[in-house]
Amino acid sequence: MGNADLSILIIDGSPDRAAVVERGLVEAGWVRVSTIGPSVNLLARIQALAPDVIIIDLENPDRDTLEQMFQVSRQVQRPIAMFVDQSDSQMIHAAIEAGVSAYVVDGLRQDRIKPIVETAVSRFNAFDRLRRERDEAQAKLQDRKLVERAKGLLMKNRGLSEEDAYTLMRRTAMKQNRKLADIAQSVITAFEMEL
Amino acid sequence: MAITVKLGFVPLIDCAIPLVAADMGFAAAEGIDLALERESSWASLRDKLAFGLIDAAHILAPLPLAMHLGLAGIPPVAMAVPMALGRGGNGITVSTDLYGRMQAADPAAMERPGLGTAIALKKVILADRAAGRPLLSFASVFPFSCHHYELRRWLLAGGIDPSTEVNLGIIAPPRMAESLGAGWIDGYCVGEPWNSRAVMRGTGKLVATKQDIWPDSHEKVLGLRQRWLADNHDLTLSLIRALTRAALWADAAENRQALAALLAEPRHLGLPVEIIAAALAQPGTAPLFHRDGATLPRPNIAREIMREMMAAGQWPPQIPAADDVWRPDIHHAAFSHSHR
Repeated sequence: MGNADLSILIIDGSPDRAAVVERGLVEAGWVRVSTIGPSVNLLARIQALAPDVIIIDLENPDRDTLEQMFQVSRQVQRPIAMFVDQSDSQMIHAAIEAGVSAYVVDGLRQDRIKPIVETAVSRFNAFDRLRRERDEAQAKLQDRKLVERAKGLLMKNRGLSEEDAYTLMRRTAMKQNRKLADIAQSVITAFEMEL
Repeated sequence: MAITVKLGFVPLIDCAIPLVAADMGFAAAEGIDLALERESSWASLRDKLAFGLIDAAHILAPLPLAMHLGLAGIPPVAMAVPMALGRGGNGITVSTDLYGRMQAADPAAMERPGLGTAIALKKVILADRAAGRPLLSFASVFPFSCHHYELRRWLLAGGIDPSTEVNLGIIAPPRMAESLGAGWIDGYCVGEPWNSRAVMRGTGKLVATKQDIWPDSHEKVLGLRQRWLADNHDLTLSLIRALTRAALWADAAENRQALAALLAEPRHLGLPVEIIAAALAQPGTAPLFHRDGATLPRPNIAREIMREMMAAGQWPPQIPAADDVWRPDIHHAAFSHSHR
């Protein structure tokens, strides 16, 4: 249903996220999608690409430059306005929370833009979730390494079995209401100070 | 139990007041857990404030008026400004190349920074026009900013028409110095430390300061939604007291070193402390935080701002009630005996 004719530009400081959003839009049927990163001559590049819709991340300082396109519209042939659906403030709230905003060529029908913005919002959220999960996985791996090291120190220096070393730290953590990794870190620090 | 207030700020030297309030215990003393949120653009600060993702903001003085009037690119939001967050701090910098041309064109006008330097610029513009060269480009930080109006005032003082004789654009402060260095623009009006930055790198020279152009104007203010103010009246008074005490602290000479260190931190401006310290000591562009009534929002300034909006073609030619937005009465209430 004529998705192909809308040209969409993604401006994002994170190339990884831009790729995720681009893929999402292309998979949903919008084929004319391009991406650019931070740039000093933003307006010239936008004018050259002449997009109908611009998706930009909220952390991007270029948003202020982009906004002059509706203040000083005589400089561009196609006036651009921020997309705000007056009938659906829930949606704009969700977009800001996800860290994304959209600008559209003035006069484009809202029902044509809304699914684009919705796709971008869900992709931003998905990217955020993936990044969080990756960070958590890394933190967990780090924790496990600490526990292994502390266990080894206790076995070597206190003659404990692996199971007893683990149980000792586990019990201390519960008693002090602290994380097992924190106790492991304390054990490591204590042995390091003795050395 | 401390009550959390989410306050957004844009990393500039004049965001000092909320930073000091949060870090030096002034907010905690009023029972406030001041949660600071850094924003990279005025557009994002505006959106988060308008749609309630933050409660309060360190914001360009003209922007709450523009939001209230529905001019700022989003639907109108009833706004309140119960406090100003300092004065001064801005400057106009031109490229060293343009500075040289201005000096050659009118050495007398260029003797010292001020409105007079624009007379030299006019001569450069006339020479460019005679030679058929393209217009010079200048940038400020946001359409609804004192920087934009100060740039216009400076140009007008030289007899230059801002809408036909130069290109005016918008660039975020951290991008200004590099844009000047790369030759994308010939000059800009911005808050510190972004003038010092270009001057120290040798890519730009200061030609006028806010002190020269609009000395009594507020620069940033505390922006709130009227709805939030109505729901949190006493909390607002506490917030004003905390921020005012922070402003007093920030002005004190003996705290300048600690202030520079606080501003320089990666979670705030993330710049070398020497640059911040130099900018805080720079005569003409160092901001005032508390002195000379720098925290009291004066309605005559709101009216001047609206006249500037009109002159810039941002608002139909009529003066709306600035008093709906600027609320010195709330500021006074924060220090009346019944609330102390």
